[in-house]
Amino acid sequence: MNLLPRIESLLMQVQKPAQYIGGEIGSMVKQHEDIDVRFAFCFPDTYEIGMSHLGMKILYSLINERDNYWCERVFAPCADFEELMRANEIPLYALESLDPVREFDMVGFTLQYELSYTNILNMLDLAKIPLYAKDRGESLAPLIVAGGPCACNPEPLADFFDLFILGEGEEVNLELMDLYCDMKKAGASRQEFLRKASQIQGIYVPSFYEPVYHEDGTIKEIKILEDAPAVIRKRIVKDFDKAYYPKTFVVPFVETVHDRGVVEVLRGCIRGCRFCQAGFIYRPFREKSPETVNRQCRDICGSTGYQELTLSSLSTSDHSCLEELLTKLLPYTEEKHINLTLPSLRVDNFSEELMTKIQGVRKSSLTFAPEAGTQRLRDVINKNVTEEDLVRTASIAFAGGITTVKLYFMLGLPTETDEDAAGIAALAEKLMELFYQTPGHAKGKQPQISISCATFVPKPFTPFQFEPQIQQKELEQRQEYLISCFQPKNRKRIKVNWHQYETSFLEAVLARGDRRLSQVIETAWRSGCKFDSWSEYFHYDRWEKAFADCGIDPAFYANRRRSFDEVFPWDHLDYLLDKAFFIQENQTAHKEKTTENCRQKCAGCGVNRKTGRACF
Amino acid sequence: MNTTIRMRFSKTGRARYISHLDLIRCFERAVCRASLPAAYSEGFHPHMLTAFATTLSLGFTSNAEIMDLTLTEPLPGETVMTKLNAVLPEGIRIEEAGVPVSKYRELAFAEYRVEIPCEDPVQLAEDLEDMLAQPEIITEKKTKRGMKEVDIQPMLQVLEVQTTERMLVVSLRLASGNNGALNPSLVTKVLLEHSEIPAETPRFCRTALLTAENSKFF
Ligand code: SF4
Repeated sequence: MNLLPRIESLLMQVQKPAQYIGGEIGSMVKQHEDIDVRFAFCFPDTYEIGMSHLGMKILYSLINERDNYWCERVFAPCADFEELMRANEIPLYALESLDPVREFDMVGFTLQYELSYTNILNMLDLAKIPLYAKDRGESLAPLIVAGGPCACNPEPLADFFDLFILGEGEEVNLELMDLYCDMKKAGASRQEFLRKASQIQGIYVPSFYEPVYHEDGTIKEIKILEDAPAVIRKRIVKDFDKAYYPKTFVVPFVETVHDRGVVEVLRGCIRGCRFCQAGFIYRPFREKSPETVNRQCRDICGSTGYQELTLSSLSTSDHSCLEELLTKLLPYTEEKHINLTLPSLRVDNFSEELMTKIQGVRKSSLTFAPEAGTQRLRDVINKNVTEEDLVRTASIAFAGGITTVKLYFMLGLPTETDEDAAGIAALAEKLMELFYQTPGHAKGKQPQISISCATFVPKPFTPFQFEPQIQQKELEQRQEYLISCFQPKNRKRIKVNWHQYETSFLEAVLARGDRRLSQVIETAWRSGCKFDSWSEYFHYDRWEKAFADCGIDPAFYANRRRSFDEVFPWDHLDYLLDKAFFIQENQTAHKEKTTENCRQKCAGCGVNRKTGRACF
Repeated sequence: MNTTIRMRFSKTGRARYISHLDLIRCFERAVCRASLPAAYSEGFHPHMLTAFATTLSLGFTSNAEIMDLTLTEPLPGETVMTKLNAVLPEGIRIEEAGVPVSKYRELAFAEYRVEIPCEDPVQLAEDLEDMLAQPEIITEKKTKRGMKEVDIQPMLQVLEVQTTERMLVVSLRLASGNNGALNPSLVTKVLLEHSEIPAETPRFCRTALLTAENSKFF
């Protein structure tokens, strides 16, 4: 059922209507009669955010390369359009066919951040699909699935999904669709399909597992109900350099957050920062060859016409052949007037040479993420950046005419004291002075130094998964103390931004939560919560009430120290990482000792043993 | 040697929801996809040299949009048109390409075809005649300095009126130059306020951009 006329009758009443109607270059429209399996790729946030997401671009093209499969895009409508959709009974639809999502075979959500969970329920509701997996009956379609980083602890969402896809999707997504295709033709039931699917490595069917709790609320064990595997191991692609990469992207009409060509240059991270979940769950570290990156950059820019290109990864400067790669790429981007950007450059290996190369492609500000204010605390979190690194890079930047520096820190880190907060202020003031001392600094201009302090959120699959999150009162005292450390003349000159505590608190609850949170999420959503990551939509009072109504103490999840032998809600999910390694790293952290990066020395996280391959 | 190609293009179907700023970006990307030798401005932030005669309101279709593209080497208009049409999105099509003749600042009029679905088109047509017979048509118009009372009568010329069973179709020629431009949606708004016939949202299509001497831009 194509909804075009009904959609069009409303479009002139909403902001940026082009985002709701499809028709972009690169969008794949197929003939219904050629299709065996239809997949709705849902991003639980708005078009402008979702269209910037690389994982969606990869899986979208991958699935659509198969003639008999059709993958379409779905986003959360903004509030103005949602209201009109509800008033006019227009169900959630996909952008290629403009067909309702509930007519699809598989509906897949990507779990990018915890604060998008209420949007998932809202989208299912807009699609008129029952929220709970148990209420969706015996028929195969629509099957509601999810993947992405938050699938490493999907337990708070377990009741809403038929299955989760763990790890990298490039291979397993097609395996899953192939199985679906066969079983659909054979007329199989949902249950029969889930049983077979649970045998595929990387597929987690939550209804086949049941947590049993201790009196104190912690988990006693996870019971396996069907003939399902005891642990579910995440997938990684066999050969990253040869792994599927799209030759083109859908090019949006409306401006999106990152509206540009993207080529992923490496996956995983060698660093092992102890707070960083991405640094662990995407292991092992793998790179694409400079030739592959170059070819993919040319393909993407050529087919999309993008004049902005970014080389993406967790830490692009860790690519072992970055200089070679750039030497090959820069003549092309210059000839084609393409603006090349390299995000996530690290301070400590930011060479002068690299700096000049990037300067050639316009750079007006420098961004550092020392994360902590003292060397002691940086050692605790294993962020191997020293003050000298910072000073050295900043002097090069100031001498090169840069005046804006953005510093990113976290507050509430394990072992943190007021002294560490004072260190943040001291570092910012030091850079302020350094600017004026640097020969050749921009004349007649004031340095713009800003500090952004996030609240630390302990995440699963990190050495800090055992740690309590800081309490609100303590955090606020530390924030005040930090401000009091500035010399009076700097109080106005250095901008400091905090994140709202409640947002990080809720993130902490959901990140390490268990199945008992499903009803809290549902209750919060029913009371009007959605777009929780947008401060103008975030209503913590509604969440507070939802916790109370469900008889759940959120502090149990966020602020409790967890013992090393506690069974975690995600313990049956295998991300190739040993829990023993995290315990050891946690202990090393409390000894204020660092761990070398993977290139220097293997820290024994388990990945090489489990993949049967040396990482380097 | 830089040469400028002038093109007339249409914007129809879903493409009518593309805003003017988005359309500029869309064309720049199409030029890149087509590997045309586009010329860029000098300076620290070089941009592609494209220029549009005027903007089209969001939601309007058109078969009369005019744009210029500057190239670093001369290419036949036909070639540019074929190459661009191969990579433009659904609903945007170059209809002709050639050498610019008039300057954009000579733009004086725009013509529109307006369709108003309504219950009684014949009566609405009479109401329109009525409205036009008045010595002046005063209405509130958005200007650079806020809302202002203006007489739109001198900016408005009705070329043709047709009625079908459920629709009034009006061809309008409206002032569209530097000394005042009139949007056809304001004309229909005044008409529907003036009339008692219930009508649905009108549809607008721009059919021509003209100079004061009624000549085109090629
Ligand atoms: S196995 Fe060793 S080298 Fe490989 S990711 Fe783990 S710690 Fe790093």
